[in-house]
Amino acid sequence: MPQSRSSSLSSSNPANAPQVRHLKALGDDTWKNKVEKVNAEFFHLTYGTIVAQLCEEYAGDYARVNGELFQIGYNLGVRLIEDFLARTALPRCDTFLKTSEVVSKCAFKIFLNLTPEVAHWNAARDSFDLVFGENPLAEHVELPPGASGQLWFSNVLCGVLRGALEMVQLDCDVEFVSDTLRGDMSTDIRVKLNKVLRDEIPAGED
Amino acid sequence: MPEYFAIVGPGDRPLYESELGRGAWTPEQRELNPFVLHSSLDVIEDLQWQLLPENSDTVSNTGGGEFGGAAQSGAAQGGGGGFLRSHRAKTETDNCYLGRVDHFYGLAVSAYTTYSGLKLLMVHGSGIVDDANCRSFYQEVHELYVKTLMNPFYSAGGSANGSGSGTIGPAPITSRAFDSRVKAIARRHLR
Amino acid sequence: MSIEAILIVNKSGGLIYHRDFNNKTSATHLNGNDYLILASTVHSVFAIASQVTPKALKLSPPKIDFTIPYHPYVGVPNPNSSNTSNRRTVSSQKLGSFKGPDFFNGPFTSWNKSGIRQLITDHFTMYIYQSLTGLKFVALGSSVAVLGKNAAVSNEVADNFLRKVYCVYSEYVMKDPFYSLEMPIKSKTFDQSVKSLVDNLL
Repeated sequence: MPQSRSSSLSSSNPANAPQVRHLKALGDDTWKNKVEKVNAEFFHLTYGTIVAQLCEEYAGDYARVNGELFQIGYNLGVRLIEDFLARTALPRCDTFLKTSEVVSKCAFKIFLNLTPEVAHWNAARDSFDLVFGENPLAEHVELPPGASGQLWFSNVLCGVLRGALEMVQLDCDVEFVSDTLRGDMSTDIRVKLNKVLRDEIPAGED
Repeated sequence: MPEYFAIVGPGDRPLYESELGRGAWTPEQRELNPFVLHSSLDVIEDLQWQLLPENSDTVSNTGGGEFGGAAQSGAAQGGGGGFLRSHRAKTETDNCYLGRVDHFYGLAVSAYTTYSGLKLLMVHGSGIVDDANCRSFYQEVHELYVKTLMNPFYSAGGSANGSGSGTIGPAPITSRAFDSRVKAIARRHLR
Repeated sequence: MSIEAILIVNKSGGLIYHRDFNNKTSATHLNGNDYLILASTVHSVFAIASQVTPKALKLSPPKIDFTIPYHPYVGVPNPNSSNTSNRRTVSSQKLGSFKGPDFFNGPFTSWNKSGIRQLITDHFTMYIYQSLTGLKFVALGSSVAVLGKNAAVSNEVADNFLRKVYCVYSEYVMKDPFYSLEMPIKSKTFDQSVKSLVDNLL
């Protein structure tokens, strides 16, 4: 994405700079030194084939395909969070702002080597957008004519985020708001915090 | 001068066609172009399986797709056989590019084949094939086609039960992005 | 003088994994049912313990550093070790998607801040590591100094060790598509990996 835009986005971000830098360093280091990699072509062909097969089986019922992808993602997320925590051992986030930084700088970095921009905070500070400059899931993808405007190709990501955040007691709504595949200017995922499930926080943390 | 470019899949089914270069074809010639191009396919299949001259009596011109290709390449490694114009490969780094393969009343036809049995052909209105530019053009279009194959929504052919018997092959390329990129590559290499 | 048993307790207090490393069939040997009771008791006592911190301490919380120092190669063969018999196992040792030679390589913050971390008796010591998702990893050792020269060091090593069990859990249990969450762990690969972690402690 253009440099001018990204800088204007981060300036609207009242994040604690040293903390963010620490998270970024942790994410970079973990990705570089502690994670085995898989072939990118293999990865996006696998995912693409799943989506294409779902589209075929549901005969173009793209709302249903979106739902299935979300469910796949959710099932991934509730498991993947353990992997993430085992790797990073990050402490619980005291603010949602910090959560957003962890998701962007650590989680996406470690699993997909991406650092989506955190942007578009609402006034209540409980909702933000993740703006993706690139999307390894959707590389080389062109949506079939009927799917544009209905299919969220990378909807699995929303499910992953929803499942993973739920396991650390953050009840969030996660959805795509735009996708470059559909001809939008950028690929944005909105994460909205409904509530912190305080009753479910395991004893012994306070 | 205008050019007529087409990609022909296994089973001689056209996947993509486009008019490139400067100028326009006359209406009669425009209708004739696909026939000129398809009449060259036999020549290409002869060339494609052509072995070294001493083995040329064993030339197979069935051109039956990937299975035949695999058998031929095995023969090439085993003995003195050739594979895909390998006698040309001594001087050229790529042996997919076949150069000028046919002509038709002042028109020239050039061709390029891929290892999966795909044929890229072009009718040159000028009757002249500029090998250097043509080769770069074909190579870039080939790369572009590989990227198209990476699109999960593009059917590359074959069915789930594995009966790739020639009735099923790559689907016609309908992507507009592919079309505009081919035209951009043509603008760079063909004039 | 080693880790004698490993237990994993899910967030609702159910025992999802236990393994006895004590091959002697001693009279104190616990059966499956005993382990179930032990697990839910540990879960409850842990929760109670986090509630009974004196009020005065909560009003002016003491500055406790919950950072656990990194102890290299706990439960994992040291690639730099001169022991050649050990060395051979290094190359065959796979840490799954964790890029070796160790699962992690720095100090980390304990998530277990007010619960029980270590329980010392005359006969055994118990170490508890809790994940952010509420999973408890429990190790039972035969004596206080089982993992280090004193109780404090021993506890640090135990946290390092149990975090590795957590890593292995995330690798072989969470990534098994046929494992249902919160259910008993039947995975053989997980079992073997835990065993090799314990064996390498010696």
